[in-house]
Amino acid sequence: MLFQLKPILFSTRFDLFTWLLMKTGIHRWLLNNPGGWLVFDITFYSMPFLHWLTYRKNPRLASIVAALMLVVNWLYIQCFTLYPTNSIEAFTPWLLFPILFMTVDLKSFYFIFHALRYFFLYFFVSAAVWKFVQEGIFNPQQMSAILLYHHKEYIASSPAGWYTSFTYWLINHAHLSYILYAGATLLELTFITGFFTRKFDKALAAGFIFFLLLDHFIMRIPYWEMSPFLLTLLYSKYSLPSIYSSHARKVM
Amino acid sequence: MFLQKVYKHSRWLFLIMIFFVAAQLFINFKQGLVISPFYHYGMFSAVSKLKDSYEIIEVQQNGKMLRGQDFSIQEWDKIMLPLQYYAGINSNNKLFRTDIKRLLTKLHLSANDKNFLLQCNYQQFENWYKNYLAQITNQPTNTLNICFHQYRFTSNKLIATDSVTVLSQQCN
Repeated sequence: MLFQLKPILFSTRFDLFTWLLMKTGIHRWLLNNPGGWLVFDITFYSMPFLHWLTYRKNPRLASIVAALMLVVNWLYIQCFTLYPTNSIEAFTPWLLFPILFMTVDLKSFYFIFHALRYFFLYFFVSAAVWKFVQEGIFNPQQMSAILLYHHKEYIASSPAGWYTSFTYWLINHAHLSYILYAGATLLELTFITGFFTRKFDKALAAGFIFFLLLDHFIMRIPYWEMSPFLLTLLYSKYSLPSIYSSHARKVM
Repeated sequence: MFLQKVYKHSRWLFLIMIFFVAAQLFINFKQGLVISPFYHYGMFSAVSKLKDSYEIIEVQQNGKMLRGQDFSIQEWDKIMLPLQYYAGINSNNKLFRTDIKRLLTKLHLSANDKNFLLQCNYQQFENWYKNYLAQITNQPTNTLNICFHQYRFTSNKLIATDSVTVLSQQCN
């Protein structure tokens, strides 16, 4: 939440959309502005509830609220990630999911839902491909160097802690830590199966949770903002009712 | 095929999806500038090498060095990240002056400098950080010392050297 972050400074990323937003000065207006944080936090966190409430009362109006949620999410996430916190990539589901609720037509909902699933599969597969393109996978020192750079403040401040001993052990056994890196790359690559079949979606979901846990405990990166994408794997087994399409079961 | 089904259902939806795929591919091939929500999902894909020395941030609150092991992951990030951001003000400003302004001008878009530039005001930052830190550690910050300490990575360990700079020198 912005109220926890209490931002007074920002860091500009290399993103054209972000620059256009920054031109409005909204991110600067939020600096050292507790009232602004409160308004942004309350609006952002109440949008899903507002959508749910509208959907129950008047489903047609719900798509307008979803469009509003899309705008609110974009404003909030764009500003929030300029301040000292996680990178914006982790918040991709928060930027994209409101689109799903902008339709009241079940068939459109179904297709957008599966498009989000494909995007999620792409997210992982591209992470693996980049490791080959940028050659990180061919560097036996890769994971040791990442761990040392990423945890240097922790290690230096807590030289006697068990986590420091564990991290040093991984850093100093470069081949073992490389196996972790290669294993993560392989896990990312397995998501390619999702483009051809939905049979393994539960296994992919388990792999995703395993990835998040390792990211949390080994890399100390809480990447849980990505977890909404898990829904696309858990609910992909459902087909459209036959009333909507005689081919529904064959879709994909 | 999925896209064929989408095309049969709605041409608009199909066009939006095609645009999304094309934009993502374009960003991938272009490499460098991104346009939300089209990013590079590299996740540590660039080659990283072990270095001989590292600059490490150390924070002393009331004369006591803060230790990573005493904080949750999120708390430790909250302690460290603002310091990295403050130390990075000059490079943030340089990015605007060298690249962002040029690219925005190329696109015939004016850029208001004050929305992109930050000023180094250590006194203001320190006052803010003292309060901010007090809320994380649950104790008032009477004295604060933040420094960038040079460490050598030798004999499989980080060893502190005598080279130290204070945060206020990182941005002035």
